[in-house]
Amino acid sequence: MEILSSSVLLIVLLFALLGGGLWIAITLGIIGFVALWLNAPVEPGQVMATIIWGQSSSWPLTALPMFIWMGEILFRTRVSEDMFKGLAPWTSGIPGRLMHVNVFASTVFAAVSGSSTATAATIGKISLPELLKRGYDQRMAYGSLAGAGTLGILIPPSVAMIIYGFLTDVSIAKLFIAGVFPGLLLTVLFSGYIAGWALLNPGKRPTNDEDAATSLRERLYNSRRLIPIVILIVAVMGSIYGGVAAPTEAAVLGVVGALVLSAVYRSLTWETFVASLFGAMRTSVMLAFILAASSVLTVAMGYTGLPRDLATWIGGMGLSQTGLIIVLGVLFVILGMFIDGISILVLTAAIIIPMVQQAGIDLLWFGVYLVVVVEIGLITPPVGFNLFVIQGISNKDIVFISRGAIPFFLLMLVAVVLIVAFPEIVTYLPDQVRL
Amino acid sequence: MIRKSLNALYTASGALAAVAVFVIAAFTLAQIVGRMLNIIVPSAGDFATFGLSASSFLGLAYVLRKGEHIRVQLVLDRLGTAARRYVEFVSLILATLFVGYLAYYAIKLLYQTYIFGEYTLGLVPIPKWMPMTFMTVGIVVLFIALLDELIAMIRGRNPSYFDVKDDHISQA
Repeated sequence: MEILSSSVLLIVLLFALLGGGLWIAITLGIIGFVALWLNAPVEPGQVMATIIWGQSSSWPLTALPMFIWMGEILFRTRVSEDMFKGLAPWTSGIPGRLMHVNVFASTVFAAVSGSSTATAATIGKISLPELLKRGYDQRMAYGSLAGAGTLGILIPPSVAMIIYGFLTDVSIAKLFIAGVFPGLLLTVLFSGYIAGWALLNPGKRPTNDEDAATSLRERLYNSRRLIPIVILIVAVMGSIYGGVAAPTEAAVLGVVGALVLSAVYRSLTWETFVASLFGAMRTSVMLAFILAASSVLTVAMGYTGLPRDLATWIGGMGLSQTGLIIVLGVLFVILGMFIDGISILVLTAAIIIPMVQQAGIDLLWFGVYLVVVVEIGLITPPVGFNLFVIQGISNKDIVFISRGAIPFFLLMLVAVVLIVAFPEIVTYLPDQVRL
Repeated sequence: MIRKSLNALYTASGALAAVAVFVIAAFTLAQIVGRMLNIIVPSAGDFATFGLSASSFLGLAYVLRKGEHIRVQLVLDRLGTAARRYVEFVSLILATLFVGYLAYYAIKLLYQTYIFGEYTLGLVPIPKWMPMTFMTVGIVVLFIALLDELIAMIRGRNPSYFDVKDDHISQA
């Protein structure tokens, strides 16, 4: 009974603080403080300072700023322009033509970027003006970019997976490889939908798209522009799975590669170097702050006994694994409308992970499932970070963009159902690799 | 004068945080190259990890003023100007109190670690209070920055993190 009343108090406090616009990290810290103060026979401040220090010096977590820095460097090069030019000729035979570049370029860029917002921004800054100039349907142009941009956190590397690995002790390298097939599945679903839509809506064909059909030779010649990015992908991912490098080391190789690329493109100046470094620092500080707070919350929750009781309670309900997965999925999609994905992971990990473990669900599979569900939150209004990014580069109303994203939202739900029905989509590849 | 030195404090601590990100890369790279040449770079992993914690804490105040720490603005955006100011003010007081409390214990922990004289276990034994100093300094600077914002609000101005116009896209 006491546990019940104290958990109700904590939940009410959580929503009040979040609603009042208090920073998520500080909210988590305060909740942790109250939980410790009510339940632990220790001085909360002492415990908090010790936990924060202990978690801040974590080796696997160093991969986070490195992958982010790599993305920041690439964002400041003309790599997105090259990807557009290299991929565009290949789409001329497919219904929907250049619209597929949004999807293909996002898929490729996701393989060097750990972030969905960065993917949408990098691809969108070139592809959106080109698509609109040629008179492509606006709603589809925005929607497909919003949807495909989310691949950034599913196709490795992935900021969300590093954080999930940190929270659950699941191998980050395994999470990375487990994301490959689900990522490609989404690519196929998105492209298939665009082609189908183009066939069903011949009236909405672009008004001004007169790209002459190019010969295979020309296409291949244009594809030379993709070579640098492909080398980068192979170097970063290859070094992890070749067993040569830990994720952090692979990320640092990526940083070096991105710097070389930037120098070759002649966009490497002292200014862009410093700007990329500050950009990486800002995002990783923001993430580290909520991670530090979440460690406090996890320990504090341990003292309350709440996660254990909740796990037992769920266990006693006789809910099947699939039942639990569906309930959690619905919860996350709803939360994803109001809170960003990383914060959801961090907010709920302390409670959800013990529950999932108790139910005997594979934590590796669950991580990928969570990432796909979190991706959905990126394109659901009112709070959807990919919608914000596209609003930022296009100055288009967010309502319009999110309406364009609806079909892609539904396709992602289809992918979630497929992953639940056929878990091998996630687990096959990591099972083949010895790490 | 005070304004200028406070801004300089936030910028300097942000710049140190950026340097620390570079330090992570430098030591990790040294480790990779060292392994290829069969040279052991002493405690490279330790130094990279300390780079991470230094950057995580030293950047806190800088990121605060850039408005980049995540929070839920859904409710705030639907409030009138006066009501929003009131709610923001209460949140800011809570944040300042919490971070001040944490800063006190971070200083205490640093002092205890210094007295106990603990060292890391790597090839190069480093006194643990050294990397811990970055954490403590970072939290204290964040506390100062929050107090700064609080005073601005009391004087009827808006805190710096309100409606920041900035083109940085957070890579999360």
